[in-house]
Amino acid sequence: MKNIIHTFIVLIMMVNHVESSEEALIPAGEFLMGTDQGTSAERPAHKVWLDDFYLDHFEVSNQKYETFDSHYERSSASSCDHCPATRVTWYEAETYCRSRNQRLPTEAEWEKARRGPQENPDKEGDVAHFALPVKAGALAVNSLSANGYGIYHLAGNVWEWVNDWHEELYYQNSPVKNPNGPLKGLRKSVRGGSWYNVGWYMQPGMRFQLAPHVKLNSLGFRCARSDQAAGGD
Amino acid sequence: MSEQEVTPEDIYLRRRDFLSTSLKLGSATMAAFYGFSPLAKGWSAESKSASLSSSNITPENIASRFNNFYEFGVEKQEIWKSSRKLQTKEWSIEVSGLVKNPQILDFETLKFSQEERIYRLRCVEAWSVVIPWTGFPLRLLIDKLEPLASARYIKFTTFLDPVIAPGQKNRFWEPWPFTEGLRLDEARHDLTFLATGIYGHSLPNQHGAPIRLVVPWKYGFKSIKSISRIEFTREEPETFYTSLSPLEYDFEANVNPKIPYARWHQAFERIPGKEETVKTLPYNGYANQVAGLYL
Repeated sequence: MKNIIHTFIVLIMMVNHVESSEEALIPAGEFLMGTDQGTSAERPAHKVWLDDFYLDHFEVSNQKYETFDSHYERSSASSCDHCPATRVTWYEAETYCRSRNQRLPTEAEWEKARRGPQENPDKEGDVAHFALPVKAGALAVNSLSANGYGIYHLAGNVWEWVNDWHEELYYQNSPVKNPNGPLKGLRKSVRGGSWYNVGWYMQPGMRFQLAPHVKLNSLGFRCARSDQAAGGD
Repeated sequence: MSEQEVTPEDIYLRRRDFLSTSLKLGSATMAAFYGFSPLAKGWSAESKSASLSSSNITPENIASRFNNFYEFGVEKQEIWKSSRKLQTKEWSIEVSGLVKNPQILDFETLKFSQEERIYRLRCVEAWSVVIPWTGFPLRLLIDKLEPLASARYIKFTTFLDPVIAPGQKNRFWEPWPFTEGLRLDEARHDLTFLATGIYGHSLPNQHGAPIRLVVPWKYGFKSIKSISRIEFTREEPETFYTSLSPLEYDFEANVNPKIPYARWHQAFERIPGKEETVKTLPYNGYANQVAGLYL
């Protein structure tokens, strides 16, 4: 009965979000995180369970970020209204998401969304904005096509901050359920590649790291939210 | 050249001393070298460019322990160790773009007469070394590849393997793999060289194994290491540094002591392993040979 009620609530929320929100529901379940083809930071590939969560369809755009920070200056490499907000620190990104009752996605959430419902992201690379000259710049956040969850530009366009502190060997002993990174660290994890990175960098399991106060022309973010109706199992 | 053919550096240098008694070494010296055929034209013993002799050669133990190869880190003294993971067996070079026969070249099948060139290498960081290279003029490979008449530039790309090259992983915001380029007339110039050996043996990884470019009149970053792709283009290609920092770096990048370049004043250069600082020369001492390219 509890599961039926939970499913019903989730369906109601999905309908509401389809109509009015910019979030995609990523249903609870298990996926294979990491890759054995990477460095020690990505190994081993391991199973992770995540509860339901919501992730923004789009990277946060310049126009939206400017409503939050009037002093924000757009990068010339990502300058249109609907281009992703870049040159934003992890702290600024996190604060923006909090202001909207959201948060940055955990590294596991980001990777599950990136892999898509079929866990077959290779096909999606075909339409990503990547491997271009640096001068090409970023595209609007709603351009090209979405992946199987309805999410745009998880591969390419701009790098994205995620919530977690980065620890090189975290996967050696990370929680199986809802991992959210080490308790502390010096650098935050960054994912997804940008318009000028080649395909290797866009692989869904690849992890990168950056000090949280750093701003890059090619680094933006998107927000996530836990499903408040979930839990209790 | 195999590792078995390596000659100890002291013997190598004595050999050079012998040669210097009969040849006035110029910017590059043609010589039969360990059984390789010398090219019969090009750099005469009378060449005055760079005024090099065997006594100017940077000791190998210095040149091989002081390297820029950012794919493997930023500590020059550590590159010889960190670059060991680069696998150069079964190396291939992809040839594409405006060329008659796009193809994958097997490095082992590149058959060109090997020759020796002693070149000054001037780093944009205001230090310099003198290196004895072995290899062949890039022009010979270009002629073999037959670029189309519409080709005006040549772009080089090094390997990409962030799993073994931590710089490519940790500095993810940089446009890896490293790329460089030349105008086609620069590439065809007799001084422009593809090196496969150094100090009488095959290139070790820190020097850009198994094959690298050497363009002695340009700042060292133009001399791309570990070439894995060559593309002929009509337009000037975007390169690693011109894309990463276009206000600091230009495509031409000729050594010019009168113009500060990147983050360094370029009037002087220091010599690794020595206390001395010397004046930098226009075109790194090769003005007589190359200034005509820029009239």
